[in-house]
Order: sequence, then structure tokens, then C-alpha cells
Amino acid sequence: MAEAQPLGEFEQLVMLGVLHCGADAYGVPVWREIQARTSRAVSIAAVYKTLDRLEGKTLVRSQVGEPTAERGGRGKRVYQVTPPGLRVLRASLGALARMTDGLESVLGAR
Amino acid sequence: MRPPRLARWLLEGFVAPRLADALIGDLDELFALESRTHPWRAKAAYWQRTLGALWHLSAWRMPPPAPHLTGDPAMFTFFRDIVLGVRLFVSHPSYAWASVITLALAIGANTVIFSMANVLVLKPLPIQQADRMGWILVSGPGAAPDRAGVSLPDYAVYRDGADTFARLSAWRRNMVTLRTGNTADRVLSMRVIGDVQGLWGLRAGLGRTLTIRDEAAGAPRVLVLSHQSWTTRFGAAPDILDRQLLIDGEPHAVVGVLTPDIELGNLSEIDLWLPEKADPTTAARTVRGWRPVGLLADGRTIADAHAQVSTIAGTLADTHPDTNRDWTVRVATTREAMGGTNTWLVLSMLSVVVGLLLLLACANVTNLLIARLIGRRQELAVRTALGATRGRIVRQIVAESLVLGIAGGLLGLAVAAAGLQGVHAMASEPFFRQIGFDVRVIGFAIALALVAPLIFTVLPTLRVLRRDVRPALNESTLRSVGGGSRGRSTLVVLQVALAVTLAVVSALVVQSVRALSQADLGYDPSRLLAAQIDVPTWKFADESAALRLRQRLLDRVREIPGVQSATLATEIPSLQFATPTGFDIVGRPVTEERDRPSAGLTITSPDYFRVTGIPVLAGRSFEAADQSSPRAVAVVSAETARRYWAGGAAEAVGAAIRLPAIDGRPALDATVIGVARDTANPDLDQVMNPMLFLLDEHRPARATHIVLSAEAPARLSAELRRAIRDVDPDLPASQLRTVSDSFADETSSSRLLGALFAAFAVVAILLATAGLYGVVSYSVSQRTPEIAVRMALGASAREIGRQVVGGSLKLAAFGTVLGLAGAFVLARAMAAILFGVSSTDPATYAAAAAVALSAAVVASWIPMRRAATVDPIQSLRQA
Repeated sequence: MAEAQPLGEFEQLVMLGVLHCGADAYGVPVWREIQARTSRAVSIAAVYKTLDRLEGKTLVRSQVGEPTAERGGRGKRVYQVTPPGLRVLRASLGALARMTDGLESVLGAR
Repeated sequence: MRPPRLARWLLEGFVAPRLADALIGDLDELFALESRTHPWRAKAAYWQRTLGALWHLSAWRMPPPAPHLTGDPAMFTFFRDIVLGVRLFVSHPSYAWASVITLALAIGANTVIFSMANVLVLKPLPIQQADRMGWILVSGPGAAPDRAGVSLPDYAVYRDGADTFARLSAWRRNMVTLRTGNTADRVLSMRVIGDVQGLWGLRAGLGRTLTIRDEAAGAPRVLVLSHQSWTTRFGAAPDILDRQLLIDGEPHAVVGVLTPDIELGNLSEIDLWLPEKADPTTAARTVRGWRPVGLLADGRTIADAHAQVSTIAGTLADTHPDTNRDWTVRVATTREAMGGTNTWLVLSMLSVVVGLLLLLACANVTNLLIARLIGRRQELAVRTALGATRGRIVRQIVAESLVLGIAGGLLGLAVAAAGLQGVHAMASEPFFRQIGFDVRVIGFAIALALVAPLIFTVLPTLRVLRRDVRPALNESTLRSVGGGSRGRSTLVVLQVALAVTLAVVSALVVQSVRALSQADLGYDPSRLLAAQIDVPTWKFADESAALRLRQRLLDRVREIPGVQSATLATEIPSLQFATPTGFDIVGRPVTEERDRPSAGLTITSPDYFRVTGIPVLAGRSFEAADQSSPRAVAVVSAETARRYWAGGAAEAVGAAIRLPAIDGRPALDATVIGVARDTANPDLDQVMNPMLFLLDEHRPARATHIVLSAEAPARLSAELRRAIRDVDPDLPASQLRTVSDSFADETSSSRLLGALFAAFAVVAILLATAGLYGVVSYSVSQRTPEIAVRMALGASAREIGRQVVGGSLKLAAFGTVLGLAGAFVLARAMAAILFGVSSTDPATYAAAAAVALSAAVVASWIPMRRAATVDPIQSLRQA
């Protein structure tokens, strides 16, 4: 069941990062994506924590992938946004858009 | 460049299991990338991310995974693991039972010793403000250390002069005659002065306790019963109050019954409490036996009290040399007073021993667990590859071990119960009767049952799981990893060391006990039967009447069929201390009090030496005619002659001596007619006490023993009791038992100690042997391919066998050397309680080493046979 609670800010960022990374959305690329786009110093552990929490709320799901030599024989945990997760994300972003509607002059362009 | 190992170890250990792999993989990936250009920065970044991970993702900070993520919630799986643990007894019975029995033995042993410590140290004493009480303990010539007492006048001096005590009372144990209906019984009374019951805050279950007013000279005679005597002697009669009981012929009103709390240790045998009415300042100085105890004044310590009391004692020795010379006092705490110093030493030793036993047991179970885990490595590898996390596996191991631990604890309680039964059977001292199960003792056993699994699972789980289980799916890697055999060997060496230490210590204790029981007393007590009698003053006020009564008693006892002869004796040789009495040798005046000769005075009848069998070495023994001789005759012991006559026995015989007037008795002139052989003193140390024997007719003694010798003394108990009653129904017989039984009682606690140590040593040796067997058998199974190759190449079964045994012996040898060293240290620490055997007795050490090496051979027997029967073709095919 999708959570009725709204998404936190960081949770949104992480879910959007997962969407950006597409099929290869595991720890490192998601983290890089967030850092690059938001210019914020984010700890990879915080990303993991959030991903885990989101998974607990069934907003994303994960799968353990192929191990590689560079990873010392450990598999990647690849994440994907679930349909309920997508719905919640849309709702959350939509609410934000509606709130910012009409405030362009104050907030300025993106 | 590789990522820092320590950081990796931390991540593996502490990050939530389901994320650990992926996270570490990510960190490694980043590191691989970054270290190509900036290796040191990459390392720093790795650490930084590690700390971040530890902060955010530590296993205990993360919420438990939602059920759909792991399939089963953690709690649920834990319960299932517990159930699986219980099923171990069916699926792997030998492992389960071996672990449980090992733990049970150790937990049982620890519980028994803890129950002793519980009584000595932990149980709250029924005396209020027990830690502010100071007990004055007295030692003196010819008396057991700390067990003598002070006289009433001395007590008064301490009471009035020692301001380190806010108040000081004194008590004395005293046998009295209780007459109910037609029977007279000797019962143990507690005489108190200075309101001991108030001082200790004792409570009455019925009626009231004694007060200071009951001690006034004109107050009505009252007594308070102990709870145990009220229930056993009077059937807990509810109308006991205000009943009149005849104590030594005087009616006393029962004014109260105490609550049972005070029945601790020696106080558990008290039947009734009597207030002392005598005026301390006018009482006799020669009658000792009063034990002062008092409440320390505010801000004063035991040390302060001790200093002051010692000074007062010194003054008393100067002002009253003939009664107080050479008597020393000390002030002790309640705990010390209720258990002697040796008790503490012994208890510490026993605690160390059982603590070591527990470690030994845990080591054994650790080895069993490691062996089992190694056997399951393949299963574990598969499970891990399928997604089971290390945490999950560790939880399962812990659950299993807890089940074993609790089972071991329950069985251990049964072992402890059996052990306590044994203790009660063997020891007669009241202290040991108090030892039993209470909340604390059971709690201790449960705590051990829960803690022990934690101890023995830590090592195995860390070791086995630390290695990367994932690639371990092929056989050869399984074998080559070896599962930490060096660790197991070290463990076994330590086990052998512990067992050897215990074996040496136990052997020393057992030898001490045997020496004690076989100590040469200087006479043979096996034919003697004795009873304590005390001619009551209320019935026989006149000394000569009392004397005639005793004479009638002697005559009557001699008539008992089977009796060889009978005598009176105030003390039974080597069992009791005789009161040291000063005397003068005529013609040798003494200038200083401390130079006056002194000997333990025993009052006897003419047949004394015939009854006891103590030979008279010079001169002659007493004869019937001496009883009517106007001049007293005396016999001295060889030690007395040696000490006080330069010419020894030859000079002593015929010498004239004089006992000074004391306590209302006139001075006594006597001639020494004989010198008797020495008997051991009750402490059984090498120092002989000088003795002096006089006849009852010349120095009458009311409180004495009637001793008879016979072929089979035990069979005459009923006859003796009847004879005493026939002579006078108000003359009760107390402590009627064979002298051998009395001696056995004295040594019973030593024998108990010996038995405990021996039992622990046997358990330790069994555990060490089992440990050795485990390690050797595992090593053989691991090296089967190697053995097969060697046999195929022509090695004989015997050579293989020798190698196996040799390996076992090598381990045992290391352990033995360590163990002997440890035993050396421990034995010297307990040299104080050893008797008749040196703490470095080489024969004992050699024997223990021999036992250890034999155990090594025994332990390797089965593995050796298995190695010898390896079929080379089969094993090579399997490898």
C-alpha cells in the first residue's frame, strides 16, 4: 500500500535520481546524479538510507545484480521506482507546482 | 592499492546486513576509480564514507526491514531458531548432549560454591547494623585462636573503658539442664549481658525479647526460647508464654520466642537465651568464655577499636598477670567473626577452582561448536549465496547456543542439588546446613546458563564467518582453510594446563585431609566412649556430696558389661584444650609472673591412663590408694618435664609443686609421681602443650566427662545413658558419643573440602581429555588424504598411530608444563591450609604430569585406530 504521507525533500531527490539513472540505478550513479544536479555535497550513505526507507514504503524496489571484479565480487543493488511510487512522486511534485504557481516573479526563473 | 582493511572490517561488522554488500561494493568501486589518480585522497574519502555509513546505516539504527523485504521478521525467525535449537537434541544428539553435560557439570560446581559464598558474604545478616559491629576475639595459651573468651570482670573493664564502642554487650554459650516432666536434658543456652538482643535488634515472634532489666539481680527469672527449640522441643505450643521451665533446678518463666532469622551458623544450635544476673565486677576472673560484641561509636572504625582494646588488654595483663598474661585480643568485623580466616582462604580457592572449571567447560563447548560449524561450512556457504546474511546465521547460532546453555543450566541445577546433598551429608558444622538454594543462588545459575553461551559462541562465530564464505563452495578450499586449528590447539593446551593445576592442588588438599585424619594423637581413641556431665550446684551444693556422686557414677559405669575400665576427665586428650594453670616448683621461686611454669590442667580419676592407654614413661601412674592420700599427687606430661626441669623426667618425678590459691580455692601442694607421654594438641600443630594431671579428690571438678573403654564402645551408648540416669535422674548426659566420632566431627569439614577438590579435579581431567580427543580426532579427519597417501607409499599403521599419539602428547606436554607452573603458584598461596604435605611436593607434581600424559594417550586412542584403518584407495578416490 502506498504511504499516505507526503514525500520528504530528500526522498524526492533520490527518487528523481533513480528515474534519471534508468536501468543502472544503483548507489553510485544515483548519488552522482544528485550531487551534479543539486550541487550539494551528499553522503552516499544518506542516499542508501533513503533508498532503503523508500523501499520499506514500497515506493521503490530493488534487485541484487551481477558482481564485478572492481566491487570485490559484490553485487550491485539496482533500484527502480514502482508504480505506486511514481504516483506519489507525481502527486508530491504536482502539489509543489501548484504552490509555486503564481510566484514566479518572487521566486525568479529556475 | 586496496581499500583500507580496518574500514572494511568496520563496515562488514556494523552496517545493516541487507545493505552492507551493495554499499561496500559501491565504496570499493568509487575507490577503484579515485585511487587511479589520487590514491591518498581516495583512501581518505573511503574513510569518510565509512564513517558516514556507520552513522547512518548501523544495524541498530536502522529500522527492522519490513516483512516483505526479508521474508520473515527477525523476531519470528529467532523463535523458530530456538525451536530448531531444541530439535538439536534429536538431530545431533551427541553434540547437544556433550555440550549440555559439559556445561551442567561446570554450572553445577559453580552454583555449589556460590551457595557457600552466598551464606558467607551475600546473605544479609540478621543482626541490625552488622557492619558497625565490632567483635572482640580472644586468643591465649592453650586455647583455640579467636575462640576463647573474656571473664566477666574483664568485660566490665572493656565496657566502661572502651569509648570506641558506643555500647558493649557480651554473650556466652553454656550448657544447662532443662527439666521437663521426668526427663532432664542438657540444652545449649546463650547467656547474655548488656542486652545483646537489643544490640542486635532481634525480634520476638511471640511475646518479647530480653531487656537490660531482666539482668538486674532481683528481677524475676525469665528466658526466651529460640524458634527451633520452640518447634522441636515444645511442638510450637501456642501457650508457651509464661510457662515455667526448670533450668538447673530453678523455675524460669518463658517470656518470648525469637524469630528464626538469627539461626545462622553457630547460633543455629541455641535452644534458649538467658539474661546473666551476676555482677561483673565481683565475678571470678578465671572463668572465661564471654564474647564481647558492641556497636562502634560514630566515626570510629574497627581499627580504632582494635587499638584501644589491645591497650586495655595489655593493662589487664599487667594488673592481673595470673589470669590475663599472654592473652591477646583483636577486634573483628561481623563477617570475620562468623566465619574464621581460613574460611575465607578456602572459599577464595574454591571460587578460583570452579571459575577455571567453567572456563574449561566453555572451551570444550567452543571446540564442539567450531567443529560443528566447520562441518556445516558447505551448508552455510550455500545459504549465504542464496541471500542469507551473516547476521541471520549468527542469530541462529546464538539461538542454538542459548538453548544448550539453558538446558545446561537446568541440568546444572540438578547437579548442584546433588552436590549440596553431598555437602550436607559430609559436614556436621551448622554453617554447612545453611547452604542451600535461595533466590540469589538460583539466579546465579540462570545467569551462568545465559552468559556461558555468549562466551562460547563469540569466538567460533567471529572466526568462521570472518572468512569469505562465498567462494568456499568447492571441497579443496574447504579443507585447506582448516577452520582455525591453531586456535583450537591453543585452547586444548590451556585446558590441559588447567586440569593439571587442579589435579595438583586437589592432590595436595586430599593428602592434607588424610594426614589430618591419620595424625598421630599419641593415644588410640577407638575404644573410648564419653559423655559430658556437670554435677548441678543446685542439687549438690556441697563439694564432697558432688564428689561422692561422681564416684558413684564411676562405680556404676564400671559395672556395665563390656566395659574394661572407666575414668573421669575434664578434657578428652587431643580433642579439647585444657585450661592453662600456673604452678610453682617448690625450691624455685619465681620473680616475674611470666616466668612461672604453666601447664594445661586436667582433672581425672586413677584409671585415666589405663582407660586412655597413654603410657606413663617415668615414675608411676595414679592408683586407687592415691584418692585417699592427704597429700595430692600429680602426673605431668613429658613436655612439662622437659620445659621446667633441667634433668627432664628423672628430675621431675618426686618434685614438689604448688598450685596457688585462686578463686576461693585454697593453694594445693602436690608431689609429682609420674611423667606421661605427650598427646597431640587439638590444633595438631607440632607444638606440644605441657599438661598436668590431678585427681578429682584433690581438685574437684564439677564439669567433666565420664570416659569408658570397651571393645565396641558404640554399642554401649544406651547403657551409659541408663547408668547415668540411674545414679541420678537430674544428671543428664550430653554429647554422649564415641571419641572417634568426636574426632570425625572435627575433621568433617576438612574431609568435605578434600572431597570437593577431588571431585573438581576429576571433572577437570575428564573435560581436558574430552577436549584433547576432539582436537586430535578432528586433526585426523582433516588429514585423512595425507594419511592415505603415506599409507599408499608404504607407511605402516603403527607408524601412523605413533604419529597421532605423538601429536596428542605434544599438546599435552605443553599444557602440563604450564599447568605445573600454575599449580606451583597456587599451592604456595594456599600453603596455610595444607597439613602434612609440602606445597612443592615433587611426588604430587610428578603424578599429575603422569595423569595428564596418560589422558593424552587415552584421548588419542580412538583417533589413532581410525587413522590406522584408513583405506588408502577409498580416501584418495574421495579427495
